[in-house]
Amino acid sequence: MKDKIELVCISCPRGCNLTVNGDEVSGHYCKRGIEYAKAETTNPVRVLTCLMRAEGRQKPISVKTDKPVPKALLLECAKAIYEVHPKLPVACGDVLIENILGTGSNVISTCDAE
Amino acid sequence: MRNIDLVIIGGGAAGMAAAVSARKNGIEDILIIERNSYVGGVLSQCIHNGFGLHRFSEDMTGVEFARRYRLMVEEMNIPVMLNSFVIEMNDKREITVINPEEGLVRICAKAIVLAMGCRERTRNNLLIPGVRGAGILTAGTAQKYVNINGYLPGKRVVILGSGDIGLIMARQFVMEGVEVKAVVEIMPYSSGLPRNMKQCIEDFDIPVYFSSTVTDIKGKERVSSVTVAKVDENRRAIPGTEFEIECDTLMISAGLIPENELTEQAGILIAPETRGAIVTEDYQTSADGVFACGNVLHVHDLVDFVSEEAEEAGRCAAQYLLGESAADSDIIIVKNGNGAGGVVPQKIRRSSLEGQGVTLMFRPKNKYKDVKIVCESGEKLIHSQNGFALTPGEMIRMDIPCDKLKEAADEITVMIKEAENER
Repeated sequence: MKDKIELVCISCPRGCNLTVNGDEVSGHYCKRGIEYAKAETTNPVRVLTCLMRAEGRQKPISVKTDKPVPKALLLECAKAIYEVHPKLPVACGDVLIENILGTGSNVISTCDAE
Repeated sequence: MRNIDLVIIGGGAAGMAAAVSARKNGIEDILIIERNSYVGGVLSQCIHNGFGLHRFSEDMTGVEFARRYRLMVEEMNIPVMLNSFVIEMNDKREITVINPEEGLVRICAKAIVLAMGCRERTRNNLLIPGVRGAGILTAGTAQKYVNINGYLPGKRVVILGSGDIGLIMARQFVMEGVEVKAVVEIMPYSSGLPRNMKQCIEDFDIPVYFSSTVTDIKGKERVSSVTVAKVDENRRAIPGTEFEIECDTLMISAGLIPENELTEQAGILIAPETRGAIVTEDYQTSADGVFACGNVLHVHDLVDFVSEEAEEAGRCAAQYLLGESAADSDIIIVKNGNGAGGVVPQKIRRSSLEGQGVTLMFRPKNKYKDVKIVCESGEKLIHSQNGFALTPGEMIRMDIPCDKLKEAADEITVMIKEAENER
């Protein structure tokens, strides 16, 4: 990693413009910028939010991963989530898929559905 | 006629926060009026994360953020009138509500908080020529179809405008297996947050055409393609630069307009730049006892700031009801100077300058790097702060302490100045 890399931090809506030069990070407002820059230049990760179909409910329920998953696995995780149809009721925070695709992240509900 | 101390019009992020805050500040008799069958407003369809970092120091989804406030409203037993639409309001705080159970209801309130939010610019606002086939919709409508109703509005989408909801929907469409063909933005920069350009557009290699617009929509019963052209500095299409993009859906994400029909009906003064009510530092409009907050006052970037503003407006409405408001006094007029637009509040009452300071909010009119954001009164510097990277997509907030404001003359101006002797 010799060249400077320019990044936009996505840790919060502030969106700091980061410059990564080897191990040095500049342009960050808080320490999350450093963590983000390190992850982004080695193993970029994202929190996945998407929809899931519960059994017997026409309208979808909203879910998210409780920890970020590798960016490269986002679409595969989304596909895996669409395969699962939990039974109702579902409460906000319920774990619906444990350790999705071996990422160490659980898929949890972000809504209450009956 | 029903008499109620505090009526809050709108049960979204702003309305719920104002209600919770008014109750905490001693108001018992509160009614939230909501036109939908659920509270939460647009948050209920925002399944993505990035909410609550400021307000709750937690990364939440919009749905979770709304739930947090809904639980507070329920816990405090604040009544919510659902499926109810306010059709009339006057400056004496008399309103007419219509709903399926009670028909017409007349309410007289001692104070009102306006929290109606905003709506999206449509194809008709933008005057885009072409067919009127199926497949033309706004980003928020698409978001509601997908996230609440559970179906996709199309398979191949072109997005006009780079507002945040459009960017968020681009990513979600990709997740749902929809092909996002392009984002077309009339300005040379994105109107959305930089992080959304990164995580929703660049992450998925979606093509973006800046300084471009849609000049025609083709198709018979359904959209089959759109024509895109480059624009000049006056945002007019340049002949000869047109090209076609095949698609079955055109999704428009070109800005939000505060929903102020009721406000105007009541004769409340509106600021042309924000298209929201003109307010004093306590969020009171030109009508006595009528307050405004959230996106109906001015369009925010973050719900966290909507809640914060609404909590303050709720507190001020409570003070008004309890007779604890600052007395009428001389007013400091707040003006937009070089590079600044849409400042809120537009007026500061001198009698209110006790304790905490006043937060001024406004938008830069352009992109700026390494500048000073300044508040002046005549030649006198009242306050200044650094601006490292400003964009019109991000609101500037300036907290000015009371003792500084006390030094101001009858008028203060916020502006952006190129920094001197720096870099």
